[in-house]
Amino acid sequence: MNNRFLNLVKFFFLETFKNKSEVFYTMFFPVIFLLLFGFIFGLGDTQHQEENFEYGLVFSSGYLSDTNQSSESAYDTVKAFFDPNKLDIYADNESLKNAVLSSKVDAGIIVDETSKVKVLYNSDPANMQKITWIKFAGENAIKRFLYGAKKDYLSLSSENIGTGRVESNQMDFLLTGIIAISILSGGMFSVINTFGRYKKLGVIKKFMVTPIKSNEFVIASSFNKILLNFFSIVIIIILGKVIYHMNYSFDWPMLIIVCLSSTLGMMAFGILLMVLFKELEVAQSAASILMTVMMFFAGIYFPINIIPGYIRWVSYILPIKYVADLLRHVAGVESMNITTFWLINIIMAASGIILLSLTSRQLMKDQARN
Amino acid sequence: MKIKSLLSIFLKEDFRNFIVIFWTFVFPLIFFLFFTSLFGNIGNGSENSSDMEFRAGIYFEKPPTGLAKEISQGLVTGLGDKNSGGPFENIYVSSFDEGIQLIKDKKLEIFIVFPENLDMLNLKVVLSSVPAPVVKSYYRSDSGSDFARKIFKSVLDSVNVEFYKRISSAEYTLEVQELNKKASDTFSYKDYLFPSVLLMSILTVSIFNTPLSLAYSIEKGITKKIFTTPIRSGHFLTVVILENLILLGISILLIYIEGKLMGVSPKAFSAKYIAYLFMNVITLISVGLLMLSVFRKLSAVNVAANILYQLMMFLGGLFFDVSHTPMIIRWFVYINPVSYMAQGLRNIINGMPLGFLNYFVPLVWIGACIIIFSLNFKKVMNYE
Repeated sequence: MNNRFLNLVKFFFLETFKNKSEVFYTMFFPVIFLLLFGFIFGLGDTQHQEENFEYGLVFSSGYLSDTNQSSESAYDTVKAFFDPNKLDIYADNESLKNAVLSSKVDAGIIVDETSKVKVLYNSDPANMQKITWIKFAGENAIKRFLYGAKKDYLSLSSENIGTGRVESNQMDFLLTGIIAISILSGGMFSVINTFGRYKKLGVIKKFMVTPIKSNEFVIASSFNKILLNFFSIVIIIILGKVIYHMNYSFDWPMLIIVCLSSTLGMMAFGILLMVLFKELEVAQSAASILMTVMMFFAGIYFPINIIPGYIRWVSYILPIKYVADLLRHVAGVESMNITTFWLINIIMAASGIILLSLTSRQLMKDQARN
Repeated sequence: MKIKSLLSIFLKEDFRNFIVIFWTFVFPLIFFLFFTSLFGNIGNGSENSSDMEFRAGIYFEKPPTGLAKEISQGLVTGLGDKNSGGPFENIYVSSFDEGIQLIKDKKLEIFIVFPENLDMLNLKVVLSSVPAPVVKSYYRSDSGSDFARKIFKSVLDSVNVEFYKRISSAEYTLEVQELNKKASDTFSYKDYLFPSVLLMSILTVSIFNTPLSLAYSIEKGITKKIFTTPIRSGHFLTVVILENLILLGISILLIYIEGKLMGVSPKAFSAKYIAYLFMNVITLISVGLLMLSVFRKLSAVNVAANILYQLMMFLGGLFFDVSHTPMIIRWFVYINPVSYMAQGLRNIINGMPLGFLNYFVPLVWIGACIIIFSLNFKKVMNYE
């Protein structure tokens, strides 16, 4: 490595860290997403933890007298059937309806003297994501109580077959997905913002009159982005450990390889957008659309299996799914065939290097023409 | 006249700016179309339709007989076989190890193992003291596998209830009532998403465009130049607000046209809905001005706008249910005016009344923001 190249790296390093906005967007913006989506999807949300619903129940006096039960004994018995969900007893139908409407409970159940069981749900569309699970759990629990189904005819034992080095849960999957999004957005946006800015400020043109080669320029400026992106990932991992007590056991050398290959791949994608769309603003917008599509097709926030079949293929052609898989492997959350691991890394890195070299030359040519 | 000329210049500039056109007009339209195609089936009863695809591995340690055979087959069928339009593709495997390997290789979402003693079920129906056979399900931590596990658990629970129902002398009828909804109404994801897209568009203009264009004009000295003309700061602010209201009006109109073409509920076109939407516009424009009172430097406004935009959008219940989030972030859901606005707009579409908070919280925000901005007005416009 010659002095010129080192000086160039140093220049870009200082330039990057002087630009507070860039540091914020690359290093801290993903942290906001981590906190936001971590809490929305990971903790306290019933989408991923089916056993924390809250039900309200009213037994009509007619039902209690018909079945010769005191209200206390009936209530004590029924609670066990709802376990581990929570059950609150209400004095009358009206107060239960109000509780359902004000979302104090997820569903209300009224057992009347005519053997009719009324199940009340709030039709607020905000509940749609979890309503299926609320229905299943509530209806089965009250039916079991009414029919006296204390024991199962068929029992169920579920086992999470950990495919990784550590015992993982859904939160670990979610957070590795968020890290994948950070790598991709960091890689793609950093080059678009940087090269777009340099292009606008005429920095590229100025460099072109110096003996610096286009490859040196691109590698030196990209190196800083990779470094910044890696810092961002380290911050996310530390926060994930501290806040969400993630069970990760990172293979750090492998993580560096994954970060390097994935960031390279996405940086090339970013430069490709710059070459295709010429204008910084247009490239940024195209990248934003691409990120939105990737976020929702990655199977991170909800299963790919529920995406309609005719567009599910999109998930398989976007890199985010594969980067998330690589990360889960190096985090020990799940295992991956070692050949597949290296193959994905090589494809990402090779396509990154080839695209970076081709598109950066094209970018320089475009600048020379203007 | 002064205002009209300045407004015309600003609008021309906006219409020449790709970013403004894209994020204000085009993106909400793409977003609405994209998400409606992606999640259009959610909540309309077709969650178990062929749109979903899960693969369940089935393994019998010993072929069952009699009632046990019928029940186990019913259980597998209850998952909803893909061939008959259900969400599961049931794959019978020849050994336990094969099933485990398939689930580890992500070729299955769930692996169900019926035990060797499944035939005990034949005995258990007549002798309750006989231990229940244990069906084992194996799954991974990913969301698809977990989803499949939950479905299987629910189906098995229903089978157990069915046993008791058949031997019980009591007969219970279950009636499901959805509150706040007419019997004829069916859930429509388009109606759920429509207010979200409208509010997202309002947020874009009020949280980004308005404060950023003001901060830009102030920091780059444009206002200083303008104030050397007879145009005063009040005029300038009026022009910026009018400019953004016009942009927003066009954006909302385009979303409405798309909504009409996509068959959004006619209630979204009612006077009440539009009036409430206007109140939302005023509230969020006020929030944008408040932000400018707090952060005056362009880069700071940019960063603050990005953070606030994400927080207000994702913690406003526009796309996900946020009512069950931990208290560490739920407090923001409670103070976020977008939560009440989204709920209010959805209430109108669902034919439900607007509650006190749907008016009160946005009004408090309008009042507080205008007072704070008025007190800081001179500072904001760089008068001091």
